[in-house]
Amino acid sequence: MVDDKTVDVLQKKKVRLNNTAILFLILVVMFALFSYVGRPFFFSKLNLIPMINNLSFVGIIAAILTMVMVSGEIDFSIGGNIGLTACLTALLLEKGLPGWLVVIIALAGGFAMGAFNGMLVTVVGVNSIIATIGTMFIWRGIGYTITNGESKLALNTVIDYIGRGFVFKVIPFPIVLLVAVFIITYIIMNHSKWGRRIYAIGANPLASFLSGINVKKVKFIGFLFCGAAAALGGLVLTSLSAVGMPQHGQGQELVIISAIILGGTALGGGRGQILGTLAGVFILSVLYNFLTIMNIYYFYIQMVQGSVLILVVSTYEIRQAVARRRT
Amino acid sequence: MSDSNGIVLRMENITKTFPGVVALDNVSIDLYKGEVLGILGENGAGKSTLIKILAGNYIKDSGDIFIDGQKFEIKGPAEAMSSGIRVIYQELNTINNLTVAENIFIGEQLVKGPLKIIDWKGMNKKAEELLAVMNVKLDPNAIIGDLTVSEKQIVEIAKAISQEAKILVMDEPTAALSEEETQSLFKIIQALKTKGVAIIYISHRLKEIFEITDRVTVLRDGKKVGTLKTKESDSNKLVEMMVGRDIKDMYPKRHVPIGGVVMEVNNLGAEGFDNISFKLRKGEILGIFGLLGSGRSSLVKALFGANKIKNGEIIVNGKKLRIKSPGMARDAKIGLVPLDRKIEGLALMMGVKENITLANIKELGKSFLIARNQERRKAGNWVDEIGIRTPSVEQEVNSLSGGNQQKVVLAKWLESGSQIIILNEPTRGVDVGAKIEIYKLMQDLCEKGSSIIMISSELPEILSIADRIIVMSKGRFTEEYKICDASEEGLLRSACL
Amino acid sequence: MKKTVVLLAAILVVVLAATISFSGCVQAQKAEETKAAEVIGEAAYDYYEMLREVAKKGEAYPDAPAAGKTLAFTNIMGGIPFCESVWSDVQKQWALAGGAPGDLYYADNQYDATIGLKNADIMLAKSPDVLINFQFDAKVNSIIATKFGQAGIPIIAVDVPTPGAPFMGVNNFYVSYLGGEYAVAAVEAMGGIDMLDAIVLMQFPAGGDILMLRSEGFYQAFVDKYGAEKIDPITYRADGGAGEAEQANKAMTDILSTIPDAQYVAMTSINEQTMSGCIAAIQTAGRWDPEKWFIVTMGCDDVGKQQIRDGLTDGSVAFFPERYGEYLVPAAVALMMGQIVPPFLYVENVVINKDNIDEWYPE
Repeated sequence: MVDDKTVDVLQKKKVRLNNTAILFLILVVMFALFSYVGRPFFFSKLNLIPMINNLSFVGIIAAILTMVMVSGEIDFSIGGNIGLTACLTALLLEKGLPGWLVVIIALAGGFAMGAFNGMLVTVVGVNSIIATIGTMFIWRGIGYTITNGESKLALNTVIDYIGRGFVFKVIPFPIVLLVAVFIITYIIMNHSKWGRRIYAIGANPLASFLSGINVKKVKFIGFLFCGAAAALGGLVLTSLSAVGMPQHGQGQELVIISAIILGGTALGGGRGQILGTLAGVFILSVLYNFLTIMNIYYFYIQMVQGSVLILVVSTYEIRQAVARRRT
Repeated sequence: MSDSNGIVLRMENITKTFPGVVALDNVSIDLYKGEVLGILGENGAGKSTLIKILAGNYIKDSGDIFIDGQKFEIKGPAEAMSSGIRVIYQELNTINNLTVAENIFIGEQLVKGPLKIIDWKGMNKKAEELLAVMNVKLDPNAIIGDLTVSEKQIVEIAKAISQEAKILVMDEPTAALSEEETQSLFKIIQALKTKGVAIIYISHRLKEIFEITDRVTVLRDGKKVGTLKTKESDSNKLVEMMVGRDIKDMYPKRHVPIGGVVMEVNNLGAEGFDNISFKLRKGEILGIFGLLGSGRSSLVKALFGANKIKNGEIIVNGKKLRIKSPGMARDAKIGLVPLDRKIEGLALMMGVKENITLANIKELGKSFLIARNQERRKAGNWVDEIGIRTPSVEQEVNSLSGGNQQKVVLAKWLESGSQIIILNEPTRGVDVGAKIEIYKLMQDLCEKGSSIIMISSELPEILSIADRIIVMSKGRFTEEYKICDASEEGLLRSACL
Repeated sequence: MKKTVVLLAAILVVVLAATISFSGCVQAQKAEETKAAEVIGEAAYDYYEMLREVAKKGEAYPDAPAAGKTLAFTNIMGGIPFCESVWSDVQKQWALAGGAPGDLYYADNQYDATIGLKNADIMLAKSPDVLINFQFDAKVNSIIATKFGQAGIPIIAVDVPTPGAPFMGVNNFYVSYLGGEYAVAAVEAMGGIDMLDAIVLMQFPAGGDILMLRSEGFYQAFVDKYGAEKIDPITYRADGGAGEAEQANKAMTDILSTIPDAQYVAMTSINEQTMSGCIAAIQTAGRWDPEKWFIVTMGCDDVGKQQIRDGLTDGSVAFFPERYGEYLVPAAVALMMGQIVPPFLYVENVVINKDNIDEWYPE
């Protein structure tokens, strides 16, 4: 009797954790397959390094947004935040402010945008989908207004370094940022007390509240840092393109949220893995990269990405249903 | 053949399991035309599961259902309805912003004319007739949200009758009714009987069972203990069948010396109640009794900082406290085992250890990181100490039985060092064995110097376990009983004041 | 299991790191090749001019110069008729030049700088001999130009300038001015400027300065003819969006209410989708009279052609996207062969109207 139950439990655990492992497996298979089919272009330093460089800002934001989503909320305003940050950065540089100060102001702006979202959701009590779709338009609108809709060159040694600099002359700085953000969020989510609170709130906000956890505070801080992460992403994108423009980041919220969901985070909260998000970001980027290398039209690429998203998420659901039936 | 016997419904060897629990184990019942069959059992005995299978809300794992002798697979609520089964649940299904008449005729409004215009007049008239049959005066145009709980219940019954029920199931219909209302309900039941409706009446109140039923089936721990003719049984026999042991073993009560006052509540008021005062002493179990809508759960939430306090004061260990959040209550060493553990008490998709340490995450290590070994050890200690049956501390609490889940909630507060533990219906949905363990556990805690506030609507439980009982009704304090003066009748009377 | 995940992640990282070290010496050599033709003078463009003549006639280029070469083309917005026309002509000309279809790389920039950058990087990884860059933001193009410059891969810019690269496409000011002159002639035939109540420019400020020229030239043609004192008071500018008929419709409705008495109006817009919305608004307002509205559109795409045939517009300045390849591929091939090309390759525009439309676009 006891033995039976133990076996059952082991199977169940395996099922749950394996989702992330499967994603990495898919990724490895994709790399292998694409390297062969897409030779000699796909598997080369010239391709992969810029690819990771270009996905870095998506990854940075996705990591933090995963924390927000695990806590049961969502932030759609990240795309607008990127755009506004990019415009702000370019304008401040144009005004002749030193690069380091511009970075500080841009990040502070990100915190402010995050705080505003957090206030709307936790203090006023607006549903986060509605609140952040609203602020998404507001941020982008402000971006268009302050720049008159024009793109502006953003060239400055500090800003250049964020997206195009190299650490030790070989490792691109955005990749360093990406790795740092993922290590930090991984530790927070999987090993820290704060991460525990985030998971608990996502799993059951009421029970967490009635266990003395300050649910609003945890959610607020999630939004706060999500705003800052989006601003950091905006800085990276500004630097990558050397341009601040209000269109920056348009549509990126869906790309980022897709990657997170692909990585196994539940929309309702409570479930989600930072490493899963990392895999999700990579899978979507690698797909785009490979299919573009193969001269595939954009619309087909989108179809493939959408299909992969649905396929993987369906697999999660099926596996979960199977696991449930087994108990 | 079976029709001539008058058997309307036969459920044969019904089995249903949930993760970690066998809710029904080979249960069979027969129901004759025009009879009232009582189903009696403790919470967690399987009564509700049986009914939900009949109503099509759960799918049975195995067994057969025959209606009028025909084998019938109930795959969903719609099929149950179409075969004439009507269920009135404990939790009311009325729609609060519609009128009485609209609720009664929901799903099958009366229409008139070729254009099928809703016949408001006809609906109101028919509703009035139905209510008149039940001997109640209710305005068919009244909005449900404005009615009392018992009035809502009456609307539910009227709804069931309006739909030509062949089999009517009533799940604890009197839980929120006064004595007078109960009597008028019984009149309705008698009237339905004579019309040939077969009724399943679920209750754990013996008095009602004797009064209204023809036969009674007793369930215990998901198994059928037996079926008796009501006239041929007596109260002791039924209790023995229900509990499976002597009533004294069921509610073990130890004498624990009671110390000084640890908590004093003066004229406390908040949403749902007002002007409540009481004192809680060290080692004491203070019972709070009240019917649905009495404000007992609101009181609990206010004491625990989950609802805003409007007036009055709370003094803990001589210090006046302003408890504004559950976090502050926790820091004041107050713990809450809430009414609905799945919604309010547990993060179901998380493990036993995560749930045990949920209220005390900050003590899980010196730095900002969680010391995993320490956590496992802490959780493991509580699992051993209060006997939580789980394969490991990693196990998802979702798959534990109700009793073990309840122990996990309790362990959460023990882990955070609570000295005053509030338990709201501590044994709801818990099997008999676990119930006894929880009672023992509560008294162990008292022996170690904790104090307990127990909210319960189960009379035998509160009468046996509490040291003192406060009764609430409609958000007010009505009476306080020393345990030696308390009786079922007395409590119920005070609860209806 | 958690360890497996970490392990897999670690393997990936190691593999990626390995790629950094072993591959990467592909591109360095290219830088030298393109600087061959330093001769400046009329004769310098001979090779390009020769190929251009061949291309115009739709004949195969002599000696199949593109054989074994690679060309990358990034489209500004795949799926819309203009861009599809450009792309198919590039494909056609590439085949005429003797290039293999697999050596023509394609990516779609989707009016999105982020995607444009990604595509540029992917194209860079494929190291083509020439990049034809059709990307909507001129400033973003500067970073693309820098990257390709470092790799020694020449760029040809289409419609939107890329720093340091030859520009092929429409001279926005010129085409707009051409349209303006056409409208001026119509106004003259009608009885002069005093007949005219308003000049409406449906613009898209968010598209940037260069796109603004696509309507400001129209205005300038009037100013040059009649003087700013006469023209400024009757000129109305509005934001009609990038090509969504709905926004243009709204903007036009607003304008109509500011000039309630205007009957004779000259009008232009940045493209013909915008104009559809404007005309619908005029019709809805009950103020439509084809005799009194002088409308010149830009582009002459399928929508524009239909508008002319339906008598809705008076003329359209044709951009001939279906002929872009006749300029782009000869230029690209010339660059591949180490020759130089003129800094500006403007489309030879023509005003299409009811009288000559069948000549250019036989039905």
